[in-house]
Amino acid sequence: MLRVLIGSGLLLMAVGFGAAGWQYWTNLPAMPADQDLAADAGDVSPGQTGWLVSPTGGLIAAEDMRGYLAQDRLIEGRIATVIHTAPLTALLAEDDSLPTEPYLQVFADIRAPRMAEGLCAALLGTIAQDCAMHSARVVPGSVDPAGGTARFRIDLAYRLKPEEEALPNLGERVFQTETLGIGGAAETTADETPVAESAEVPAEVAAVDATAADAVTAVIAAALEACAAGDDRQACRIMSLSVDWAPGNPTAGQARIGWLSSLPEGIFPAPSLDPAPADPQG
Amino acid sequence: MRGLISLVVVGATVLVAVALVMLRPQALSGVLPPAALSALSGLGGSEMPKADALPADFLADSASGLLATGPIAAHMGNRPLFIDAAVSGYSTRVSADIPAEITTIRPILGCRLTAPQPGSVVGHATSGVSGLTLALSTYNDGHLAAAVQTFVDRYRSIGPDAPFADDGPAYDAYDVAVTETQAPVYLVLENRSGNRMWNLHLAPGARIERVILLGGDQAGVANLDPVVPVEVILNDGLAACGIQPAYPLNPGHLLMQAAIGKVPTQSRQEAEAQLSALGTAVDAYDVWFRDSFGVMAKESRVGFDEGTLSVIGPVPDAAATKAAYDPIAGARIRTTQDQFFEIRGQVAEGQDFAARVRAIASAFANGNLATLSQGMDF
Repeated sequence: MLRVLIGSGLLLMAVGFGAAGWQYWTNLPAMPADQDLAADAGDVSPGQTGWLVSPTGGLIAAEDMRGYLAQDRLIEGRIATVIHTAPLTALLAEDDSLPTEPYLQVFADIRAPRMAEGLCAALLGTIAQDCAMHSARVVPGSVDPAGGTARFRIDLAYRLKPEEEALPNLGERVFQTETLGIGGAAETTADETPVAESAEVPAEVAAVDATAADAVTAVIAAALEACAAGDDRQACRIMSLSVDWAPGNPTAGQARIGWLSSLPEGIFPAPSLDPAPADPQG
Repeated sequence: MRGLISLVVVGATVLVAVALVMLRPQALSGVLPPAALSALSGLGGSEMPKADALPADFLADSASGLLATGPIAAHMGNRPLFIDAAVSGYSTRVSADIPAEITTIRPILGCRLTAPQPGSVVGHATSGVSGLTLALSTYNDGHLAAAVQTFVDRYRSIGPDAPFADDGPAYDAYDVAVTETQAPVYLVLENRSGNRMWNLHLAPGARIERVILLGGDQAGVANLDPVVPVEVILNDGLAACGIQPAYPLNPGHLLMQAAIGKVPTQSRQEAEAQLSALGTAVDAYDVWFRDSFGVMAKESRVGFDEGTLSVIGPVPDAAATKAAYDPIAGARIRTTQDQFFEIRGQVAEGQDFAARVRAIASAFANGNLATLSQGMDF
């Protein structure tokens, strides 16, 4: 009887602890976040040191570093956001008609990817090697049933065309960014990651663009112009951009550019911390 | 061997007991009959008042209002009363109740309601949150469009396997026991929001002169004699008439606490200003209520912010004079309806709320829901 009692107790303990262990095991995260970040940050470009430093000696955020360096793939942080107004009838296929008013918002949201047509072409025709639609949504509450229009927000992921010249030694350069306000404030500033080294520099752009794609091209041109304007801006790249366009209105946009520049005066690269080569005679 | 069998029997019993404690009897609702579940719920003790407990012990003066936390009803003066003191056979198991007959009624045109007859008693019940969700729902294109958006958002975030079995806005039941037998009762039943089904339980000899349904998105009444007239003004009608129902707050309400400086996150001046505006609204509603029904709204109201039953009339002095609980199952109901009306489980295939939502989403996506997917896999 005693053995049975002890055996049952052990069995119950095994079941109880087993269940607790199983719960603990199943609740473990698949991969720690740090590990993921490190893997991502390290995978920037073969031959690069994989880190950037600001003019004040601070480290650059991993997201910015990826946005600038990782041009071998599309990444989450390098996005061109286009907000534009379009007629709801542009969402219709042949023999299609608009739904009744309560459904207009969700109808526009479902069909919003149609509003991305031509936008990637504008990027590919200028700076991008690759471009893909990340998301396309109608801006909540933007449907105007009387006017028959809505505002759409299109997020495009892109990667830049390869440059002719290879990047200089990153250890002998500092990384800087600048946010350019082009033709007025865009509505997407809240989405941007604040960076200490950014600055607002207004730039002029053509007043009215015929299409949203033209507006994208104009904002890119203004950003490239700003890149070329600086004396010491090497490997200047457009890290993200946003465009706000409505027919008949001046285009408003923002572009975030990043570039490498020489080390500030009096600053020198630190000597390598690798161990000195062994003395062949010693 | 006998010891082992005993041990197994004892172990199994303990396991069942632990399962009941952990999962609560409701987990067995598909297995056990309602009577057994009711008995098991009673064993838990939370619903069973102790011998020396008072109804007030089950009324919480909370930051969100007066909440019934036990088997109590609202009674005259908005005081708590044990349910079994006024109603026999009371039940809150209504989720599967299907009425026998449904008649559609419409809100009145205009703002003037028929006044009570001289000599009748005005009973005024108000309902807050009851949690008694019925198998009846009613909805319109606006609800469908919002649900299509929810469906699309879920599809985009979870993928094609995203579950979607949502129902349209359901009616919530609220019980009203009428124990007044000395005079005909003119019932004013007032709801704040959502779809409400007022379920009446009359004591022997109780007579209803007329029922007025105020407020809510849609409203209906169950177990009412078909000859008794019903008049309805829903929330949109009240707003169109410039009527804004308002009542003084309970002492424990967040705003009241803020006004005496006991809520650090809210400014005292702001709370006082809001209370002052509320006081004006309460007075205005009282005037309209008195002009319409001859009694003041704040004095006549019977109903907590959370609860399931209001008792109109005196506390019965004998079991025979209590109101008998009338279920909605098999009842005759009269209700206002929206564009679509549905009884769960009694809708043709493809015609229920969730199916309509899927069909609309599919039509908008040109028949291919896969086009809803968005977001790159970076």
